[in-house]
Amino acid sequence: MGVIWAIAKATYRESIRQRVLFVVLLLGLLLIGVTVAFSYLSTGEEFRFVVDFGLVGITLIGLGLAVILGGFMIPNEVDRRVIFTILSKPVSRWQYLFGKFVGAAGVILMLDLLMGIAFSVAYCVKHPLGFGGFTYMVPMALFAIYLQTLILLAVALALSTIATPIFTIFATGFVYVLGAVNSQVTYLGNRAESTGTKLVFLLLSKLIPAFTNFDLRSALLNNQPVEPAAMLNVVGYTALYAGLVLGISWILFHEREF
Amino acid sequence: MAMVETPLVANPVAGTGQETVISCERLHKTYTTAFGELFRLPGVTALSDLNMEVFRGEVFAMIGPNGSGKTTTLKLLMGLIFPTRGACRLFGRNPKRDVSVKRRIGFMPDGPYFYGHLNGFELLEFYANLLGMDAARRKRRIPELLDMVGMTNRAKNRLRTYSKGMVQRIGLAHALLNDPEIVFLDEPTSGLDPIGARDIRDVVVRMKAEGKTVFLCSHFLTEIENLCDRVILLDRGRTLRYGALEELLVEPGKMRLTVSGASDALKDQLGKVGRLRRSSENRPSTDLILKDGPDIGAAVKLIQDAGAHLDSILPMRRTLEDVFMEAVQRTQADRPWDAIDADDAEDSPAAPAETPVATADGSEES
Repeated sequence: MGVIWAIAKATYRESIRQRVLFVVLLLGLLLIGVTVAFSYLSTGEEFRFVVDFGLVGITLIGLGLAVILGGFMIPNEVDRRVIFTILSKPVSRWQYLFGKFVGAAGVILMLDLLMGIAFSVAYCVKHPLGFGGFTYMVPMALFAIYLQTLILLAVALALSTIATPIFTIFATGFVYVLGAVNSQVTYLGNRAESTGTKLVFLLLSKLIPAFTNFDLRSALLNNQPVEPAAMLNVVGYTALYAGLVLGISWILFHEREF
Repeated sequence: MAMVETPLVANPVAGTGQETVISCERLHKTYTTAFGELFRLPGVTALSDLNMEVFRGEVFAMIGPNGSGKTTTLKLLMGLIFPTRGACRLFGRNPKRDVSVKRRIGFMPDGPYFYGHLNGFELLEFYANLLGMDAARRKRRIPELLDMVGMTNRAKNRLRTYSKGMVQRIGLAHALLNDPEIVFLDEPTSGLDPIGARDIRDVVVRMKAEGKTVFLCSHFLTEIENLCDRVILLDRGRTLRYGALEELLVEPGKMRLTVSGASDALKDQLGKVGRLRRSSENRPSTDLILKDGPDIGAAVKLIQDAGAHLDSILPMRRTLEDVFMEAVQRTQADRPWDAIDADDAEDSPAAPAETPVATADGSEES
C-alpha cells in the first residue's frame, strides 16, 4: 500500500502543477459563472438553465481532465524515462498503474470539489428558495459526475498503455458519447429484427459504460430524492467497471516494454 | 554468411566457489513490431545469445560502441524489457517475475530523469518509499547520501533547477538508497566535472571495499581500466571479449622495447626482427614489439651498435582502448552493419549455455 500511496502522491503533486489543469479549472468556473450571467435568456426557467448547463459543463470538464491525465501520464513518464527509475525499484506494474490512477483521481476530486462549490453557490443563487433550497441531491449529482469521470479516467489510462495520446483522446471521447447514449443503443438492440444486429447492439451496450444512471439532473430539477440503493448501485457499477478496465490495462501494461 | 568470431571467454566460475549474483544464459533480444511479430518478419537484434556471470564483490564492466547492446542488457536485467529467448537472473531470480529482488539492487540509468517538481530531499524520500524503507531509516540514510554526493546544500532546490551533473549526483544517491548489494551504473560520469567523476570513482572503490558488486557501463575506458576486475566487450549485440581485465590486457610471450634516437636505418633493421610502431603522439621514441626469446638479444645488440638509446624492455600490455578498438574494428570490417540482421536470422540457434566455451588463455586471438 505504501508503494501505491507514494506513486499516487507524486502523481498528484506533479499533476496539480500543470498549467493546463489550472486552465481547465478556470474554464469550468467561467462556464458556471456564464450560466448564471446568461440564465436570463431562458426566461422563467433560469434555475433549470443553471442546473442543466452547470452539470453538463462539469461533466465535460471532467471528461477533459480524464483525457489529459489518463492519456498523458504514462506516455510522458515513458518519454521522459522516469519510469525506468520507478520500475527498477521493487514496484509491480499493477502498483504503478493503480498508483497513477489513484493520484489522478485525487486531482480530479480536488478540481471537481472546487467546481462543485461554485456550482452549489450558483444553484442557491438561482433557486427560488435561495440557500434554503440547497439539498443533499446537489452533492449527490456532483458525486455521480465524479464517478463517471473515474470510469473515463480508467478507460483513458488503459488506452494510454498501448496507444498514443491523440488516439486516447479521441477513443475516450468516443466511449463517453457511446456511454451517454447507452440506453438508446440498448433500445436499438431490442428493436432490431435481425438476430445478428440485435446481438451486436446488445453486446455493445454491455461493453460500453452506461452513463444514463449517472445523470441526476432531472432528479435534481424535479426534487426527486435518489434512493440510497440506486446510489449504491452507481458506486458499485463504477467500482466494477473501472476495476475491470484497470484489470485489462494491467494485462496490457504487464507485457509492455520500455 | 559473414564470419562469426568466436568470443574469447574466460569462465572462472568452475571450482572457484564464487557466488554468482548476475547471470545471463543465451540471453537474446530482438525488437519487433506487433505487425512484424504477427507475420514473423525479422526484427532488429539488439543482443545475441549473451552468456555472462558476475560475481559478488567484483567491479564488472560492460563496454562497447553505441548500439552494442549495453542498455538492452541493463533493461533486461531491470525487467523493463523481456528476452526473446534465454534468461537473465539477479541472485538466481527472474527480475520480471519477482520484483522483490530489486530491493537488493540499485540502478542509475544513463542521463537519469526524475520528477522535476520535487526537490532533492523529496526525490530521495519518494524512492525510499518505493523501496519500503521505514521512516527512521529514511531519516538517517537520506542526509547521509546527500552529503556523500555533495548535494546537501542543494537538497531543498527543485530538480528542474539542477545542472546535468547535479542530476547525475542525485541519481547516484537514489541508486544507493537501499545500500544495495549490486549497483548498476550506466555511464555514471557522463556530464560530471572532474571532481564529480572522481567522487563516482571513489564510490565504486568504497563499494568494492565493502564487498558490494558494481556493474558498470561506460565509454570511458581509462576509468574502466582503473576500476574493474572483469570486463565484457559487446559489439552489435555479440560478445567479443569476456574475462578478467588483466588477462585481456596482457599479451603473454610478447615484449615491448622502447627505443629513442633510432635512425631510419636502425628502424629498417629492427623492422626485420619485430613489429615497429610509434610510442605515442607526444614522444619521439619508437616501440618494437617482438616475441620473447633470442630475438630480444639480437634487437638489443642492434640498438647498442647503432648508438640509439634503449628506454625500456617491458612485457607487452595493451590498454583497454587498444583491445576495444582492435576487437571492434575487426568485427565491423568482417560484419558490416547491413549484414547483421540477416546473419542473426541464420545464426540464431546458437550454442547452448552448457556448451563449454573457450577459456581465455591470454594468447593472441586470431
